[in-house]
Amino acid sequence: MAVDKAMRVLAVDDYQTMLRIISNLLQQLGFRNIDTASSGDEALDMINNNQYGLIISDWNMEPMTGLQLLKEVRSNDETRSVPFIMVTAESKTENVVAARKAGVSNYIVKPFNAETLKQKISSVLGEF
Amino acid sequence: MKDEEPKASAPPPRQAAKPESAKEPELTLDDIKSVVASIVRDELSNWQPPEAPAAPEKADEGPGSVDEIFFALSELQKYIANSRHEIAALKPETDGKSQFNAAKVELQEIVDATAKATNDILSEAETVSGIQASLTEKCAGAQIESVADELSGLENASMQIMLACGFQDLTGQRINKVVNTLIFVEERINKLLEVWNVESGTGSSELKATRDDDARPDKDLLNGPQADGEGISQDDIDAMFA
Repeated sequence: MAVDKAMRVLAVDDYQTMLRIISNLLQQLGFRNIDTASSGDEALDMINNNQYGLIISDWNMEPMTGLQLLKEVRSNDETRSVPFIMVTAESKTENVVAARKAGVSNYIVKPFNAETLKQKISSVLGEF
Repeated sequence: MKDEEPKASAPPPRQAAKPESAKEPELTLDDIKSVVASIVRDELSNWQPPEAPAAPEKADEGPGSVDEIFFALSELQKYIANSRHEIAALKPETDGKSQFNAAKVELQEIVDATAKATNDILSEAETVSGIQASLTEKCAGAQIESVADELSGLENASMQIMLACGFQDLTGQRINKVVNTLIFVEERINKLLEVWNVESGTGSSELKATRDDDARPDKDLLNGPQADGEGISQDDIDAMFA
């Protein structure tokens, strides 16, 4: 299966710098429809009103965290199967376990490189 | 002690059964109590206390020990007064220009300055990336392969610059943890000054990653970025997804 680069992708991070970096990387990977949200609440609102093929989210945000956003996405029949990649500075085993239990598709620790992002997207969406 | 046990407790001899009229009186509860009390009394009268440890020599020093206590109390009073003075120096003043506020402002300045610098770098990297994309398009028609290779290198370099800018996210998170710790310490010191006789051992030496009023249900999991050796590697995480 090949990655559909026309799919709509949502990047979520409360740090504008990181949001910009992820957007640029996604563009360089060929994605053309990239939306961004700077909070979990904003992201949830966008997810409920649009159809996304991939969600890439930070964890440590306020008031809604990335983990809560993931649980919201997984608890909704409309969105439960949308691939969700966590990109976070939280690198303890219990964090990864908690994210896995909540249904995360893959997990990237910051700082990361372009190849890691490409690999993880590929692992959930298919070959580039 | 066995000698003193009452004869009444001995079982009647089997071989010489007595007639009904000669039957011994039944053993009552009062009899048992009396015997037990007798045993306990005898044991207590024979008990010797264990040898007491030798008393410290200073106890015999007399009036000098009272002076020492007063001297120690006086020193303690001075120590408390000094501590109070030093801690009071940290208390926020009415115009809010305390050491804590100053530290918080300075740290926020660092966050803002790095954010601005990072965004400037990102803008330039995006410009380079745009020029590279445009040149690649133009060169495609002209079949200039050597230039195309160099343009590809330019693309990679701009991507690396963008990724390197991710440091701002991580340093920002670390600085926010320090600010939260400062706020925590400041609040505790203010309480100490209000009440003064605050119990010891109520503070925490751990770096506070979140505020006390943080209501996020998963806040206990939010302690990143981890210091070197505390977290696990991307390879370890990948193994968990394998």
